[in-house]
Amino acid sequence: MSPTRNTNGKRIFFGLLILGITASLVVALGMPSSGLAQPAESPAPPDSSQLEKVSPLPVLSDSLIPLPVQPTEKPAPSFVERVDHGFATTVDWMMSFLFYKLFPQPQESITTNSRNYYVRDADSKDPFQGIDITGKPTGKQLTFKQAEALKARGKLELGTAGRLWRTGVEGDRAVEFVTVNEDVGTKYVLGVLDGTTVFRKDLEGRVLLGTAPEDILTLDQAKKLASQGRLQSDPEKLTASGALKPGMVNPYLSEGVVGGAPLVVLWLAVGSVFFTFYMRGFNIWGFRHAFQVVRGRYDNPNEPGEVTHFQALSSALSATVGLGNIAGVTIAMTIGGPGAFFWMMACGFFGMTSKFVECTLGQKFRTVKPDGTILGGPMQYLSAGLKQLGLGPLGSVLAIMFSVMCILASFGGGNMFQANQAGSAILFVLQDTDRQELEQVNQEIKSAAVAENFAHLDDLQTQKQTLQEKMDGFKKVFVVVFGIVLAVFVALVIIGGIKRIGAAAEKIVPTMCGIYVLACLYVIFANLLDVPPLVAMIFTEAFNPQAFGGGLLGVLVIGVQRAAFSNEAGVGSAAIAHSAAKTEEPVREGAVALMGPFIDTIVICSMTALVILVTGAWDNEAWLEQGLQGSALASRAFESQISWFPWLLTVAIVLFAYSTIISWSYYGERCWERLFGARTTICYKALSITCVFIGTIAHLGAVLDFSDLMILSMAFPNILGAVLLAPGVKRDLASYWRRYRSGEFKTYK
Amino acid sequence: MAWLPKADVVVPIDFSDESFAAIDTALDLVKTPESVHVVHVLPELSATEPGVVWGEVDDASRMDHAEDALRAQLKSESDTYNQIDVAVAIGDPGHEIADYASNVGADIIVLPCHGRTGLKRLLIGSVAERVVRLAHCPVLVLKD
Repeated sequence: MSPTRNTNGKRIFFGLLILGITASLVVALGMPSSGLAQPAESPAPPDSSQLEKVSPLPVLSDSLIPLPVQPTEKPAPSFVERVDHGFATTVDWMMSFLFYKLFPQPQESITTNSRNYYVRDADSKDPFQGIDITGKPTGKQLTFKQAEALKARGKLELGTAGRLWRTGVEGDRAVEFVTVNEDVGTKYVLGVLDGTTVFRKDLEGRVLLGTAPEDILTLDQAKKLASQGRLQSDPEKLTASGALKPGMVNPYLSEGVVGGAPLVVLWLAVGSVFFTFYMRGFNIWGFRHAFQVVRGRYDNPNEPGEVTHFQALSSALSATVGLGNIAGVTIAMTIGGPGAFFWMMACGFFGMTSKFVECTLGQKFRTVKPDGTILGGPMQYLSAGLKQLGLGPLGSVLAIMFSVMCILASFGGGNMFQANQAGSAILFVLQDTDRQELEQVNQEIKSAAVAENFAHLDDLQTQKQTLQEKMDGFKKVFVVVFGIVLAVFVALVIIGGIKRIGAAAEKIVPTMCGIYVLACLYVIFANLLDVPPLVAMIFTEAFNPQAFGGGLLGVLVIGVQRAAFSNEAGVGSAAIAHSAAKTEEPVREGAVALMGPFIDTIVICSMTALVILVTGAWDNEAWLEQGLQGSALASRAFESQISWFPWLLTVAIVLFAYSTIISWSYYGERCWERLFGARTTICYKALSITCVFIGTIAHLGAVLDFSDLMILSMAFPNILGAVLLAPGVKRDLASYWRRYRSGEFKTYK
Repeated sequence: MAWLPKADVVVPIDFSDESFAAIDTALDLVKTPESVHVVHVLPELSATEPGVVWGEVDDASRMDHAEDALRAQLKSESDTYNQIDVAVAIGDPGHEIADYASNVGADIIVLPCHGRTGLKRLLIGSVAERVVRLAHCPVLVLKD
């Protein structure tokens, strides 16, 4: 019983590959953080300084500096903020458990909190007078008009009902005061640069820390900011009432941890490597057969099920190919650099076997309902499969856990996140001209400020304000309209049962993928000369990341996490779609399923990644400074090569998002059916459509985080169950392969 | 059941053991098995189902499948079930069962009560209750 007979060469190659990757994984995980700090033999990396620890920690200020004015009113949180807060609590809880970070590195940082205060007596109509931190007048005045202009630029801390001022007390005096935010929330990380202890700016969305002179604060500058109360005090060091906790010193220095590998990411990675070893690399030697099956060679129309192998694969792909392949990969490249590319590919490669195992199980334990339709997926195989092993109660618990998580994931990552990003993508293209104009005005403002041309500066400020208001106004209307349109289109399919729209959206996915890959190839070939050094960089940065401070582990985690979000291998969702295939051979559909991560990650994600790398977008300071990230940055990268491509990309993004929403609503509905029965799915559908609308109009940070976490969390029950059921899959595979080799299977094409 | 013999009796079947047991009660009420009409109600199919997306599954094919499955199940339960009239409908079970009963001119509907509790009862309600409310003929609800 050796399924790999005659494949010794492949086996050796594969063994070496596995060994290499596992060894580096083990080295990465086993390496203490101090080991990363001093690369003994390799030449000193250009940015190694940020890994050096400062000891003892500098004391910025012994005590808390009281603010000159204490507010007596606090604007009531809006409904959305309250919902967001509720989810934030849950996210924190999940983060500390499911996303528990292994091997984190300590990091000390300060965060700016630079505000200027202007006060006047309560109920007076006087102009506001500036005061410093001790309450002494600065002699500056703030007129109503100036305050309005500051509000428009988002620089004011607003009072109740959007008022410009808040009520408060300055000492014993009741006042009305205006708070102007000068520089709030910029994070600086403590480190050593050229032998001096400094704070370096944390560049948003990147692991890299700033090295430019304006990104650096010396110790004295930091102490001065602290003495002026212009730094945020670390909430960890404060009591609920805002006083310094007993025994705590140095309130302005945050001592936290960063990096590390979230438990769930390791779970996914270790799971997929285990499955690949255990199935003896079926993702390699089964690939050719998988391709034949997808081409319809073994399609028997009379076997139970709903769709052919190709159709099942397309349906599963329409759920996985989404914004993760464009926006997610771009983020991985900007944060993790070229090294993350390697780990993304590794995740795609090993994920193929996870997908094989879960989809084989999905087929094996599916239920064919009386009307010939199928109910299958992790919620079935966890309960039915584990019951066979005598683990019934565990199976039921895991199945319910999976179903709940899948429903929530279908509202979040499979719905709100997609709707939100699709809306942003369209808005980005529509406002392109306005944004460029705004950029122009900003430049002019800078030069006018340098030239001290105040008359012109005023004009420009007004111009900027008008432009900003125009853009914001358009955005407000646009998101509501787009939210309604998208919700209606989703409702037409999932409630109205208009089959053609749903079918068209899903069927167009393979074509869109093809066009996207061709465009990427065009960009890559146009920059062919840059490719060889890039490939070298991918490998060196994967194992020895020099340009990035997160270390090998950081780069690995970024690559694996983004790839797993995209291909969903190990998450179990695709098993729901694959179980609908017409076949009596579970292993055959499993083989088809392993094409999923290959197409999604090794083909499509790598195309995006190569375009981002080859165009230099991942490291383009100018673009990153404009705040471009995710799909907007990808769009910009394509625009630099093919001027009209952002439009096509937007169409692709919207279609990917729409088909993902539809396909994920199918997954969520099946799980709902498993929990509450088929008759109540209308409740699920109504919730789903509400989510589309909410996802588009609201910026729900924590809600989106929560639902994204849910997708990865599905891997906990799924991989646990799949590992327990893996011996059965291995036996099935051996038997199937023996019959395949002996030519027992009838071919139809 | 020493009642007057009924001309036509409808038994809704959801493939549960209790629903098949209700057929025996129905057979007691009629002279010949042909007077028993069993009906299975399928839920509306979601347009996102892969089979629907690819045009491989439609209501007609589902009804055929369900009818075959129902006949096969009846055959395996007992030989007397062979002569029973079989039908499949799609939609809300309460409405469909009541409609079917009035279409065949049923004198009575016989169905079991699953006694769902908790969340499922809140969401689904009881099919038996809905049938009682909507039917134009008497309804016999069997308790466990």
